Amino acid sequence: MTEKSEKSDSSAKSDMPEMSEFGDRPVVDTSRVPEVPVRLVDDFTPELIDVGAHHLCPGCGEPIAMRLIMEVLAEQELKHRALAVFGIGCYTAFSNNLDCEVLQALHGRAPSLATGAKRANPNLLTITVQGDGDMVNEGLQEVLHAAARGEQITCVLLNNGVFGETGGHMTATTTVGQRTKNTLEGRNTDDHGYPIRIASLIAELEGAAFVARGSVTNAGNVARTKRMVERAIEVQLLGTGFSFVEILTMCPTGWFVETEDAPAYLDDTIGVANFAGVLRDSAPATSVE
Amino acid sequence: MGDSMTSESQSGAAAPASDDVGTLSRGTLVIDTEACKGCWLCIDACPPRVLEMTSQSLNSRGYRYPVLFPGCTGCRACAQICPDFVFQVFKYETPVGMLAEEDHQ
Repeated sequence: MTEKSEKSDSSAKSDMPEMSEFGDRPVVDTSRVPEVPVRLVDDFTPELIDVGAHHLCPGCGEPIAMRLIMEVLAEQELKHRALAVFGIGCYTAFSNNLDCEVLQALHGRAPSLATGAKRANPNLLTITVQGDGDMVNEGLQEVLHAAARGEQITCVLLNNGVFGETGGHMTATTTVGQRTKNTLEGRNTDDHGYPIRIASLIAELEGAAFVARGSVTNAGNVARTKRMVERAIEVQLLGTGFSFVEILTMCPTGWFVETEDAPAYLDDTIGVANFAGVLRDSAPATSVE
Repeated sequence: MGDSMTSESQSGAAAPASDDVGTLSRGTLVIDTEACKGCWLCIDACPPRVLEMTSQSLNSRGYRYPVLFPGCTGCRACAQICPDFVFQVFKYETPVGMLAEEDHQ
């Protein structure tokens, strides 16, 4: 990213917002740090994301989710204990950007890999990151059995209702009526059956200590989801069982919607069928600290 | 979409023209316009609605990018929602107006 911005510096300067575009309205100079005393409250990328540049589509929700997970790890100073296990999906491209150990699983098999890592080294903090196609279509049994066994791992599901990486077709979590690349008239129950609400399913299992569902459609939801991830990691450190956070993310490319309409579209389709909130929390309320 | 456009233009029209110091800002941003992919998520996320997308200027990859108007509160909503990590958020120790900052420089 730094290389790119250096190369394009000359063109960037000539592209500075000229006053003509916004009339005589004053535009704040955002090309450099102001000289008056300021306090940095949020850097470009959190501490554990080395490189911010990535090749995901505009308006994608997965970098937002990845940011909040990494912010939690950085804030709790768990970097040296953390092991992320990635499934297959667009988010897999992030494994090169993170300043954190990443293990690449076969399609859908991240919870099993995390189970092995955690059992071999119980001091690890293992987090799996999977998409809905990876977790619910390809590897449904892996996550269900890991939850039923009460493995001390945290699974994060980035749910956008489509196979984003391979073109935006239907997954098992696609809601009824949702338009995808192979359900152009909307998913209908006669042909395609009913969606699997995976978080609700796992919340029924006694091995699961913490199950929550959040979304990244606006800044408030991002903050709420971040608290869910914090609690999921806390539950894993307490060692009371399996913890699971489902994060509803936007996929404007796969949904054929404009990027600015994607958060509202998510709230109207997947968000209606999958209400956000904590579904199960059987761990003690005491803080790790 | 239509509603959000009208509300934006209304808030834009309601922004006061600079008088003595103009609108006070409690925070400010550094925007990495070259990293932006023009997804508009920050525009709707901004509570004081002081971010606006360019309509003619493009970055070197051909995307439009956000521009900051006075009135930023430094609330970090844009940085939290941005998928491309474009924003660096600062808070002023004392709120500054547009012209006051220019004088300082």
